[in-house]
Amino acid sequence: MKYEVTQTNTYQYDLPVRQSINQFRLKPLHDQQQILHDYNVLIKPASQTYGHTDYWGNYVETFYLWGEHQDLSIETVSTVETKPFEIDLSLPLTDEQRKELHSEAFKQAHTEFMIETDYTSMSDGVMEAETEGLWKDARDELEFAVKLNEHIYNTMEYVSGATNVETTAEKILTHRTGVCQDYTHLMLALCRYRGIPARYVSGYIYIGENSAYRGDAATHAWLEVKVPGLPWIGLDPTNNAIAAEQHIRIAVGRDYRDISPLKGVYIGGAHTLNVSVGVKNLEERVS
Amino acid sequence: MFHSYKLEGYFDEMLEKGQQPRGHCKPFHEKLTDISPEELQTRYELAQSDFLRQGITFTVYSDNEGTERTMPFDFVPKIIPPDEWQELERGLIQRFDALNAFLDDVYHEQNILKDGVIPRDLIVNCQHFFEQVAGIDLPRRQHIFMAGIDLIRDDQGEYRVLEDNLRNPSGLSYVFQNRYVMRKVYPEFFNEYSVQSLEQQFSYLHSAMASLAPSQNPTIVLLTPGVHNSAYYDHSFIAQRTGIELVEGKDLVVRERQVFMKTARGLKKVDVIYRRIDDEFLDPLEFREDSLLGVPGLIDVYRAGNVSILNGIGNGVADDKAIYHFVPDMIRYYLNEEPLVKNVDTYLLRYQDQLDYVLDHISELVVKHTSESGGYNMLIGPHASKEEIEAYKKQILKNPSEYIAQPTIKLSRLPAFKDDRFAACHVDLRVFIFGGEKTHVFPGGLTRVALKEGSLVVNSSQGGGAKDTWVLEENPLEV
Repeated sequence: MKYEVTQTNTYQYDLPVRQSINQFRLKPLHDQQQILHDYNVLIKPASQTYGHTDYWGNYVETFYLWGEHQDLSIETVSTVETKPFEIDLSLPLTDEQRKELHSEAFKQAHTEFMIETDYTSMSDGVMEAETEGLWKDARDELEFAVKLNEHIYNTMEYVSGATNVETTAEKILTHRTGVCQDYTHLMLALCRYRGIPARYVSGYIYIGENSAYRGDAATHAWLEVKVPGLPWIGLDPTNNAIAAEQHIRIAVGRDYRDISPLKGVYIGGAHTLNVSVGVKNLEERVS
Repeated sequence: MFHSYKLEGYFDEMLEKGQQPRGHCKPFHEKLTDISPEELQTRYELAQSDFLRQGITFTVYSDNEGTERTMPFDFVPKIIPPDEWQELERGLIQRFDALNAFLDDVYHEQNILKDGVIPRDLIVNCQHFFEQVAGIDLPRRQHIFMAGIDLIRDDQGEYRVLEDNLRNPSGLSYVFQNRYVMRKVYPEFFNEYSVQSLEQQFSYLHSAMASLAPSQNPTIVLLTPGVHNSAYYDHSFIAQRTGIELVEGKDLVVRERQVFMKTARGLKKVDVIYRRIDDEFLDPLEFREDSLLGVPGLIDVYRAGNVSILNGIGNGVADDKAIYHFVPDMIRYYLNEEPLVKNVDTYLLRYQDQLDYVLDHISELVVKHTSESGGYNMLIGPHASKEEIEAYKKQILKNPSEYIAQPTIKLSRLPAFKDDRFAACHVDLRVFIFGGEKTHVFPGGLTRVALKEGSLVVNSSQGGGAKDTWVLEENPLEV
């Protein structure tokens, strides 16, 4: 599928601010799963951006606004083509795959995505209890992950405003409410607990006519798990879905902290931020 | 004065068996025995008050109040003969160069991890590994500007590295002050000796900083957390003597990928920052958001190559207590050489067999938490009670990979003055090594002494004192 995504981020400051330095990760990834055809940024007040690729492979842009301003907007327009999902998840892992999954070499290679972070922090007892049944019944790690995706979808309630960007996995599970970011942190914690490398993904979801898809129409979050012999597989617990053509990836990391879409430091008072996203399917026929 | 002095099977750096002074210590030892105890006491008090007058203090954080103290000074120096020093120097340069190569590697290709020489998780999940600076090319690929390597001597007198401090080693100012007071209060002790002078070292320090700058004729500043920091004296002393500006975070500002210092005549571009602020406080945009000590945007300037930050960001990944175990492997891997100065044997409790061994032999070992320093949160097996050992074992088992263990080393000793006599006290030595155009070892160092008799803890925060350290140009004439 080919999409044109427009994201507009508007900051309004109560009073004029100055010496503002901002950093954002909004450029979609360009890799084997999706092609980035075009990407443009428009910043008002006009400002030059300086880009670099971070340790996780995400593109980061930094810009400076020295003088006084009371409004700031960052608009990105991306043309992205996603590829269909062609892996048969009903196939069991082979003996070789399982052997490699449990090998020291595999664990070492993906060690960053197997640790507990501040966001995914949870006590072992809670994680054990939450996954015990699923783990026992699962044929292998991959099936466990798919079932866990469904389990989280079924046992969580999607409520915006109940959590914030600093909510940890343990908290989420006590309330069983949250938004896509919370669903994702929870599932990351549980996958890692069972020895499956898992990473956070930020991006967009194309809802289109399929109104069954929940989510923030704005930006979305899900996760990817890794098993030997297969590429990273995207799982979206907020929608009990396998991330495929409707999922557009921007950044990956250990948790939200690594993919933080927008941040800044400035001299001045409070602000409000509005984010709006439009995803246009370029292949859809106009009726 | 030496009537109650005992060697007790330890390596004494001044006296050999039969309490005879070692060759290079003879002239000093003779002078020492010539002076009356009363005279020594008078001079001792003179020396202590000199430190207080100059305001050389450090803060003890373990006290609730954060009290300031002076570091007690003992006038019996550590004297290092020239051949011993040259050998040590070669070993320290080797170690420094390997550690630096390691840092450049783990923040770029990570070949040493790919080749399985060091377990990858130990590095990339280390709390001191800052992936934000991965891929940044530093001038001369130099991550270490100043290392403070702590050395001890075992019961055979062999030097061993105890710790590599590659972040913000402090104590350089004490080295100068110890020498200054020593020359002033005990001038005649130097008579028979040609001791390597420290005077040229400041200009050396300055040129080393300049050689790591991104451009010619750099403006260099020292960035301090401020007067309340325990090492503030060190900061102000170094800034003053090397002729660089002493600044705090609020004195600097980043604008369009350049760092500037606020001056009365406007903004002045800064090229080199010798910072004495920990990594995570340097830039609230990329590290700790709540840091008020740092400079927003600093990392982006560093990334752009428009400022040098000394020591490099993320050096802690090379001086972590667990990674220490692998330094000899780094020397073999990067330099293809055998280590000249040995490590102290170290058990990593992340490995089951080593954990088992340590739990079985804990009463003979020193166990340390990998992320604590300064002698805090460690267990000295032979000195610990049963209850202390049991409590510590429990703590270890919660997360064994956070602990290391080492055999108790019979640290070497030197005489220290105690009112009316000399007592044999344990010592170690911090040597400062500088990177730049050429790796350079500072001739001397900070000899720390555990003044509490029998104590092995030399840290100034826990009752340790300091001694002057003499590196001899040549051996004294036999008298």
